[in-house]
Amino acid sequence: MRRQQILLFILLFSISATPIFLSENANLHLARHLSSFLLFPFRITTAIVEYLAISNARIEKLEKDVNQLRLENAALKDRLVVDTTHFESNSYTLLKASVIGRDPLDINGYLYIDKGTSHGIFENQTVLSVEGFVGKIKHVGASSSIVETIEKQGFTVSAIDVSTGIHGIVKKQENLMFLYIRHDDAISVGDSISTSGMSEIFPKGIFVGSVHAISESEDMFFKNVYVTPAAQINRLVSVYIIQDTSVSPLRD
Amino acid sequence: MIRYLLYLLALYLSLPFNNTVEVALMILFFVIIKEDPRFALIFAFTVGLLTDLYYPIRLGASTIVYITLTQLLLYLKRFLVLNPPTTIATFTVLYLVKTAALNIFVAAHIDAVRIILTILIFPPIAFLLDRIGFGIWMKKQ
Repeated sequence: MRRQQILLFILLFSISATPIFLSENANLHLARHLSSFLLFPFRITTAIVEYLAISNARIEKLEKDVNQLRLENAALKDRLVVDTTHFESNSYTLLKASVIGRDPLDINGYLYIDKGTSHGIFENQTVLSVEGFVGKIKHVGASSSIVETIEKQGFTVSAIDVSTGIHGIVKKQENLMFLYIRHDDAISVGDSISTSGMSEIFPKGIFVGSVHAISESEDMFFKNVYVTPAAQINRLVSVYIIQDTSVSPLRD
Repeated sequence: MIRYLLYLLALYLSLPFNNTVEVALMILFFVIIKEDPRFALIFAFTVGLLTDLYYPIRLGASTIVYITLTQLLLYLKRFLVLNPPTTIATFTVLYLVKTAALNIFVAAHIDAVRIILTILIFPPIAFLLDRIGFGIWMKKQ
């Protein structure tokens, strides 16, 4: 036992002493080879920790990117018609037009746009903005037109409450009203109102506005439903005209 | 056998912190005191080699010091009555001799804080190893 111990000591001592007498390069070379398998657990652990750190940094970067894209997306949604309306189209195309003027007597009632008959515009075509329904073409010139907006006193459009399916008519009176809604109709504040398609002029599914107030009226059958228009007419700088490719310009 | 694996595992786990507190030397000391001398020598070789590889100064330097001190302690062990105070004192002497030898041999840096920390942390580690390895707290032999 004692002899074995001494022999083992001499053996291990000799093995340990060998690298000391090797040249520096050989010593380093040997250390590199030995560490490659003796320190294998540490290399694995280090690799995992590094991988997690890199993954974490990458996740943080991706989260930043996602948030940035969300912000950009929200900003872009404000500009896109198709994202902010429920417009359903198979045969319709959109023509963009710039607002070039307003009626000084009714600033929000009429808009002048830079497209006319030469661009395929004709009366009663529906006009949209990025936010939703704007109005219809009232008068057409060769290269410009006049749009009658939803803010024009007396303007009407047949509409539907999207969540309940209740039909009515949106009309500009002193306020924008959703008319012919019965006292027992389950309309709520916040409901979206869109065009019903019950008209030869306006296609179905264009976002008109949302209900912002409901009050009882003295009318025996109907209550007052107040609507906030989707489009802010006084901010418009461009609009879109819906052109129905399946309909001739003779429609009225 | 299970204890031997436990020592090896503890050695690997302690190696990253060995530059702050020399837990590897504590484990080696414990093995020298408690285990078979042949295993103690092989374990000393392993501790030295891993230390040389993990904290490279000169391959073989720590290994030689560890083996020599282990053999020395194995020889002296028979003359020692190992109760807690003498165990701690023996470890302290061993540690200081090892530090001095490495400093002379390869001019290894002497860190006073590390020396104090190692000596202070040795008793709880030794108690813990006794408890894990033998199911007892340190007792007189």
